[in-house]
Amino acid sequence: MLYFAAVMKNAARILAIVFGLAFLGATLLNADLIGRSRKALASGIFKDQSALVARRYELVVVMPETDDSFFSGLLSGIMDRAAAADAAVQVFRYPASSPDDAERYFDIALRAKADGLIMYTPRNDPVAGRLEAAGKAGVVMIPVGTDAPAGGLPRFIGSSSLLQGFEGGRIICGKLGSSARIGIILPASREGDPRDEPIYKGVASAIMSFPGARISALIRGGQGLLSGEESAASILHANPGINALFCTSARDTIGAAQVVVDLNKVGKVMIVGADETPEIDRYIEKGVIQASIVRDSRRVGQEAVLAFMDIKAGRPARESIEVGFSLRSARGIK
Amino acid sequence: MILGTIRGRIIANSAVVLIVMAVACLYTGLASSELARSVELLFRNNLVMEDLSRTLDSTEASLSTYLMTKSSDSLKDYIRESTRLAENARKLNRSIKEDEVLLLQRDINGLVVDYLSDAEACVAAKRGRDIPAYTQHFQESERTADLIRFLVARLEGLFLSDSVVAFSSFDRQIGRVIATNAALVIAAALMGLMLLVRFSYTLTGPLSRLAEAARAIGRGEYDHELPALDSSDEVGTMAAAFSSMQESVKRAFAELKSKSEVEKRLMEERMRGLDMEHKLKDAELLALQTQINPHFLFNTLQAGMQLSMVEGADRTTDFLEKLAGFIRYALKPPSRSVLVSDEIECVARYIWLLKLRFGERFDFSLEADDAVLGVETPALLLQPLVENSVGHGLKDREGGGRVEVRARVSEDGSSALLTVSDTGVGMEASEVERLLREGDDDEDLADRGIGLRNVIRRVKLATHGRGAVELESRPGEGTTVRIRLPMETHR
Repeated sequence: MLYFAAVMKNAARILAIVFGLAFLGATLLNADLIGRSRKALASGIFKDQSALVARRYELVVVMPETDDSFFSGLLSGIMDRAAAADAAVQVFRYPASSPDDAERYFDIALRAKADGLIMYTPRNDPVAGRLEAAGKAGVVMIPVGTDAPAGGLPRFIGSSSLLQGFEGGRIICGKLGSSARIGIILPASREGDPRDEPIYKGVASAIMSFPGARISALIRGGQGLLSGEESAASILHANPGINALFCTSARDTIGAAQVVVDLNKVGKVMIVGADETPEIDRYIEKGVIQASIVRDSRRVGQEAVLAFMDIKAGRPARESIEVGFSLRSARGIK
Repeated sequence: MILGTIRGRIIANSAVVLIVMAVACLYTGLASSELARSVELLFRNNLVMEDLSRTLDSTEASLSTYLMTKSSDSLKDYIRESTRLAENARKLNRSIKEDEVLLLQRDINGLVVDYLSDAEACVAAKRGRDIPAYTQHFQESERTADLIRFLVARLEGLFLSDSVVAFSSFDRQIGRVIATNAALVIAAALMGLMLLVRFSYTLTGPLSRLAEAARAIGRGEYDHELPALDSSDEVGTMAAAFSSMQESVKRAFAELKSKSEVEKRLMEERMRGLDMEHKLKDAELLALQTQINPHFLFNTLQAGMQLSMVEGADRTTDFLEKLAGFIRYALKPPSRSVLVSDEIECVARYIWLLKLRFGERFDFSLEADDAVLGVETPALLLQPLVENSVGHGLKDREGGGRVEVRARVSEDGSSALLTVSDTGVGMEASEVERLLREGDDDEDLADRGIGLRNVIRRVKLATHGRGAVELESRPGEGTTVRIRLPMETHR
């Protein structure tokens, strides 16, 4: 009996400790959960703004929602310089298949009185009217893109598709000479007659020096994930004589490489692609892709922010800027 | 002070148990409430957006109504709703921070400002009856309202996405919280139970020990140690009273025991006296039985002695005189005490008679120190021993034998030694041992006569165990019987 009483006494102590630990554990766990709830709330309206960096300018970026590495490079360049410009960047992406949505974001930027607007401008966009409207709303607009609008435009910052096409044609013909039979896959984010595309014109100009060489196929790439493969397969099936593919986006380049490998045409079909990705680099190392022309979209973004800063600082607006490109091949980067 | 009583301790312990349980339940309740509140907060952002959208709709509606009716009531409605819209917009972030959500809020706020600006311009143009202007401002405000709704929807999507992510985090934790709180409640319940059990033992333990002590004392274990109780409550008081009672009982029983032992000793003494008296009576009875014929014989011998004296037969007269004297001595109660000198005189007569009977066949020797003649001794000790020597020891000795009777003081002077020795056939050691053992036994001697055993018995009784009879004998070497009598029996 006394032993049982002693056991009860010890058990009571042990349970008191267990109770204390359970109470402490429950307190800590609940406190942790409450902390999590506060943290979750902080990501919304009630977030702790003191932890965020305050900026002088709000810079709106409007660009299509696409996996084209040109745009990731563009945004990366903008972010590089945004801190130096003391600007917080607000990115609006619209579906590449729905360019009208770009107008909505443009409108929002103007009515919300953003300080600056960097907007992707396809070749045929009414960018002049937008520049005027932005000016009236007091919003500094910097149009960026791959090709300057027809007739030119001040402040426009982009890469030259014409030069890109010329370089591609030169590489292909430099390898294949007059026997070059080229298939071109144009960017999906553009509209209009493909023969009006500066890239096509660039390739066409390059092959003029190689009589007999010709562009056998010209198509515009699709928007889907496998559009590159679809486009390449389509060209090669429709034009069995094609011995060179020129692609203008990373997705199309990788898709074309896979099709060439699948059709066992490595070495028979030369590929000159665009942009840089680890996958493209791997295909270059294996000799499936001969070269990739990389437009310096990062610099486009950086130059856009610099142009914004110049205008905000009262300096005269820059002229249009066309950034260059680099060439990735098995022999390295040029 | 309240803990000094059992009632107070019951109340205090019950309160502790209740408090523990209440704390556990309250805590789990608060935790659940906090969880619910956190979930509610997760969606509060969306509620703010909902308010903004609602006030935007109502502002638009009131503006449209005003533009259509131009009534003061609709104008008041518009002013009220637009004010609420502005207030809701002010809840949104307006600073420029590197955060998508905050920038969206800033955009919405800017759009609301732009909307209200157009709306104000629209109302003013309406009041100024500038139809193209208010139409244009109204369209602009409609366009801005659409953009606000677009961004609100986008922001709500972000909030919802954040909320879902946060809620999924909660969802993972809720199970742990429930398990933890359940464990807390179980621990609290067990804790309460243990407290109750422990308290019950604390309360009943001393009572149980007291009850055990009471049972032990009831069984007669008056030295059972009482449990040490330091409590100052009723149990402590009971224990103190019980201890005092135990001491009283112990004292009372000690006194009773002492008295009982004294009475027991007295009773034993009395029983021993009665036993001795009884045995003496037996011996006397036996002696009386042996005296029936000697009395008749004594009287007859007296008559014969007178006859022989008349006839002048001197030798016959001596014989009868010796015989009559011996019988007279023998007829007296054997339990009486006599002097060693009386015993010597009796033995001398007996030897004279034996010599008359056996002639020169046996040689008798009788010696007695003067120092022992006055020593008190039971009567008829020596005669049976001499009779045994002649009747048993020397009976079969055809060549005769010798019987010596001696009375002297022991070497240390503490005893009188009466010795009867013969040169008879002697006895085996086992026979010697048997005779001595039978002499010590308290068995009935009625059918055995007065012999060595009778002598041993009477010496023991008369000297209260201080005297002794020793027997030495070997086959063919005779027998010596030695009686030790305490010298203190001098008259």
